Amino acid sequence: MSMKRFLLRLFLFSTPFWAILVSYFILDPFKVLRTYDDYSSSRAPLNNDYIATETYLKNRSIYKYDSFIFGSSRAGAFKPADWSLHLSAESEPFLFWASYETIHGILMKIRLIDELNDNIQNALIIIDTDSTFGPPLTDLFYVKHPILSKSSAFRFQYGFMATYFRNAFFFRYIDYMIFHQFRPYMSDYIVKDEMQIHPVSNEFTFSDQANERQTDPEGYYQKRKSIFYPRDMTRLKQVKKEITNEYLGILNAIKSIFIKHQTDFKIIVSPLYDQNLLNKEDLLILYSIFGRDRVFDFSGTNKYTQDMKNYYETSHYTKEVGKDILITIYNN
Amino acid sequence: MLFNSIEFALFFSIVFVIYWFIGNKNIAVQNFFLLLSSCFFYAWWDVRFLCLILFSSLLDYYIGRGLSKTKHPKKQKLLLLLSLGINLGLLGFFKYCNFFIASFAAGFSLLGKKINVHTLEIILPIGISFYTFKTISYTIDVHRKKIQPCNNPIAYLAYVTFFPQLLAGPIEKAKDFLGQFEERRFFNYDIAVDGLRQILCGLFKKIVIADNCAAFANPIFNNSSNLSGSELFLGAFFFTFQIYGDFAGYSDISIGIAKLLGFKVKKNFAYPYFSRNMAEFWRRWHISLMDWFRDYLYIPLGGNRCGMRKQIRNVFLVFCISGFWHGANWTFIAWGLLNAVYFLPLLLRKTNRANINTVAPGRLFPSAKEAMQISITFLLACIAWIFFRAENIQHAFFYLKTMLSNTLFSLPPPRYFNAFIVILLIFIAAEWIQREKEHFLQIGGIGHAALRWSVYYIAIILILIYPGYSQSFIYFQF
Repeated sequence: MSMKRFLLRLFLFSTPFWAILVSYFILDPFKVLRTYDDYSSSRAPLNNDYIATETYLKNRSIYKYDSFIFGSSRAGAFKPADWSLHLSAESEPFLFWASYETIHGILMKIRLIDELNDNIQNALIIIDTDSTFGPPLTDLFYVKHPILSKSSAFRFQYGFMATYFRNAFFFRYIDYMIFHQFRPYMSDYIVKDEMQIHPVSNEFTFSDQANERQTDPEGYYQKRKSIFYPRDMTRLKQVKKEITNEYLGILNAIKSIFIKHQTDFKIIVSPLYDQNLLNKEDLLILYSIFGRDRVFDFSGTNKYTQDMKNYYETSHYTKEVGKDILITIYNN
Repeated sequence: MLFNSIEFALFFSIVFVIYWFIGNKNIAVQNFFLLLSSCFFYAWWDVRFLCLILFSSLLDYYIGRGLSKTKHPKKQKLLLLLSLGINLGLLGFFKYCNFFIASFAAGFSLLGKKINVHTLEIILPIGISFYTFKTISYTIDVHRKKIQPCNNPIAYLAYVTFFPQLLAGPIEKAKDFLGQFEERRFFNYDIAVDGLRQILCGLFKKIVIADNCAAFANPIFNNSSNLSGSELFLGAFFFTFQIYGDFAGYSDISIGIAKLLGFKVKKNFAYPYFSRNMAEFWRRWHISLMDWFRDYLYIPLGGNRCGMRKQIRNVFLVFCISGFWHGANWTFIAWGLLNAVYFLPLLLRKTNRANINTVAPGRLFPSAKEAMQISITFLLACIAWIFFRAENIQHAFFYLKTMLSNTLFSLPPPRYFNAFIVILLIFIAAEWIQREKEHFLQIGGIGHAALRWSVYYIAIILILIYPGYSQSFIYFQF
């Protein structure tokens, strides 16, 4: 009897906790509980790897994707629509990206497509000199979809649920959802710039940023003058050698799947604002594995990296640059 | 698995249900289940060091048995020394090895000789300082014949590894706590409800008070060379409440959980910042550790039943070792020594046993004299905490010097005065009003249930919507 009374009291005691838990299941702020047709305009941070993989899994039987762009958010510069102009008419491209994507993450995705017996007719692999051959980030928003990493789906889901409670995230989120007002205390938790994600190709755009840049390009760069730090264009800065034996194995595994699928692939080294040059030895390794005709190095100082207007900020180059690179490499 | 995490809430819910609904009939089953749960809880941190606890516990279990079997005093002494040697040896190796190596090298460099030493990559097993003291208390108490040796290894292991106390105490001595593992435990509604209130109280102290204070204290301590004296004073002030909220909060949660499992645990904190002198402060701060040092170090050294010189030596030794127990850094030793210095005038004037009772009993406000005494004691504690928090001795002295400069009287920037200050002041007021109770949520005296529940919900809602940036408990590193 006393235990029953106690449990009732405990339940009453913890009603705020249950209310928050229920709100998590209803709101699904991180969009990991259910599959959505459109992942755009989320105000909570999302795991882009999870969303790309879910979108691919949901649509693969309908759209029969056969052309893939792999890489980090910088791969977003390559619009599937622009790429399709260089492919055969029936090709269906998909932007299979993830934030801070590493070469290991790219292999996981290629393996998934292969395991599902889907075709990889065309592929673009976008390599960043500062992250592709680095260790993967372990933060929840960067970890791989459980189907890719073959890890526990429960642990993945549990991590997001715990994040909802941590640092009163739920309070900031619910406050925004009710009042649609961005307050200072939300700054590290609620996404201010809306990301539009194409429900079929998974192409993404930060709509506010894109609109601002399109309507007032001068004002856009004037406002961000302080973030575009000056670079010493006279000095050659080469990043240290990154491709270790482990990465060699990964690159060879990617190559063998491409051979199996008779993929027409291209490896693009990103033109990053820091103008750091891909390590020469690493470049030679890429040439030796994939062939000189398939590797295109745009790192270092060049026509893309010299002009700050080719960048949204110091990390991401623009879609115009992506389009131009595609023309360059396909005309070659 | 922190006490303030969802993981722990799930873990404890499962333990609670199995413990009372399945293991209720049989004490052996309950103890075995507690042991398994504690092992799981510890393994969640680091499975490798589980063997170390089990080794340390079983060693003392068998030494205890050996002590009861042998009648020979020399053999008994040898067994006791064996237990102390191995336990303190393990603690010394894991916690202090690198400190001694580095200090040895630094000592030589002071003499003008440079020696190249390599520190070892030793991982500190979490909770080692706490469970080692528990097992030592058992062997000493058996040796002193204060308790009978335990005949049930499961009950003994469940006592040492008891998960609510495993990582950061309270250090319940065998003579006070082990017996409860050998008797049947019954669910008591009133005790369980009070345990629940105490958990809420602990979560509030940790999540709202300590973690928010940390958001002020950490940047101030990390950036002390660029700040004014008044800001550094605020840093020390916030750290004073951070460490209290952190450790007293942890202790409240630990005691509350033990109550929910049917155990009676002594309080570990008794409103130390309302003390009238430093002797009283140390009777109210980390009570279980100070009791341990009193019983197993201070009294065996002669305590206060010896000449004044020896008494002074004993006080300095106890505070110095207590500081060193907290961590392998000179800052902790300096912190301990400073507290011994604070204690000295009280010892010389024989006023260290004054102020045994709670301040201003039955009165809402303290007298002017009491208020002055509390303020001075609080300021002394604040200054001592600077040594505890500083990166090294030089940092502590620099911090203190800058804090006590002319800029101490400058106005701190307004960013330090936000809504949290109001919450902190309300918390201090609530603690003051409830200072004669075990914890500030013992509000059974409020007759109206709606009012009581309003207080609980305010605490719960503040925990949910006003948490500081989630941090681990400070005492886990010790």
